[in-house]
Amino acid sequence: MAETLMVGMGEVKITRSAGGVLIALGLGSCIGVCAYDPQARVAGMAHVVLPDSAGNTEVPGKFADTAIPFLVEAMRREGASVTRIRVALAGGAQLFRHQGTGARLDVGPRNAEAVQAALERLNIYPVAMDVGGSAGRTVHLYHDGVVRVKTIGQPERDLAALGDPERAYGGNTFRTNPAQGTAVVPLRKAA
Amino acid sequence: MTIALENLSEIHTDVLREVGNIGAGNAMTSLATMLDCKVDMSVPRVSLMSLSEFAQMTGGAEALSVGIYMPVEGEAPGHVAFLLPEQAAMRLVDRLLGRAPGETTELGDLECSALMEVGNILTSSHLMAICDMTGLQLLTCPPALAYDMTAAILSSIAVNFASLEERAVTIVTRIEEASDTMEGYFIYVPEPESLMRILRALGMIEQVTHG
Repeated sequence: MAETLMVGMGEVKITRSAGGVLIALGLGSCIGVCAYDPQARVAGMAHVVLPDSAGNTEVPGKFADTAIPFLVEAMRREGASVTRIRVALAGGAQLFRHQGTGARLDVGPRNAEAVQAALERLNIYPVAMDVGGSAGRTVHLYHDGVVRVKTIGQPERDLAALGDPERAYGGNTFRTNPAQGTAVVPLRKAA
Repeated sequence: MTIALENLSEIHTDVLREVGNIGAGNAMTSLATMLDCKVDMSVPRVSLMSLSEFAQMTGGAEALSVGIYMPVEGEAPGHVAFLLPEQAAMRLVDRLLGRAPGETTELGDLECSALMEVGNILTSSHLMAICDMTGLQLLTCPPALAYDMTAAILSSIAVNFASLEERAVTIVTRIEEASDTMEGYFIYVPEPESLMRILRALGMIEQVTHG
């Protein structure tokens, strides 16, 4: 039976079932980290809330610096290899306009940077990103590695095909400055 | 010192419900005066929510809403927000801008600025009532507005208290206008240390220290 897993704030979930899908609904400043090992066919998603754990180890999935190693380790236990894992990122928006003093309304861009820094420490570079900007997103990661992003007012689109064998594993050093807004790098070739 | 949130007793929950009642009641009166109509309100719901529960509290995570959020500082820091489903926001704009019911079909800069203004007044009157009730000095920060998926709005608010506790005491009051489809939610989240100050200010401290 196809497995549909909702990945809530601060959660990390893994699926290896055929037809399985991991979903993070309504990402605002949070980041949906979509990771996939095309050989082991293991998909994992982390729903990162804040950039820095500051030593808090109770909820590893919540912070960028702890969520990334936690996600990779969870996938490794299911047979994935860190050298094969390919990643796409979505989220990190700043929804609120007219920012108030004191509120951490710029946490989205900081999350995007922190997630990339944590991935880099494991020598993983996102192959596609849709981060920053001012609009919320819903992200789906399917068992075949396809990452689909939905934003209000735009048609649903494929952000990446992490299972596409024609693409080199890792090593793609595409980077973006989240402060400059949305960056989309679709990996799927036009049909 | 903060209260272990899990140990909030029934009586504390009742007191917090009353805090929500008075806050939302005052805001509702402001709204009714502004619109010259009758507004009803639910009994406030006091619950201990995880961040995920907070983000999904209204159901319909991807449904569009308008959220006006105001961080609270001063003697009892916390968070106040007013959340309106998109349709309700449009009906509210109809009223605010003197349009015919149903005339507003999109929320642009003008509409959002009107909603921000009314949201500012409502969240401020919500807080004012809590100041009056507790004698605590609360300082409001400038409000911010978002128009997006409901879960994205709520989660963007939740990150502001996310680092402190795994779960947050959340006081939610639903309001609706009797004759129309206008509805909205007042959301009040006092920080954990503020909970104790509020309960102490209301003479509930013994139950807190010995409970």
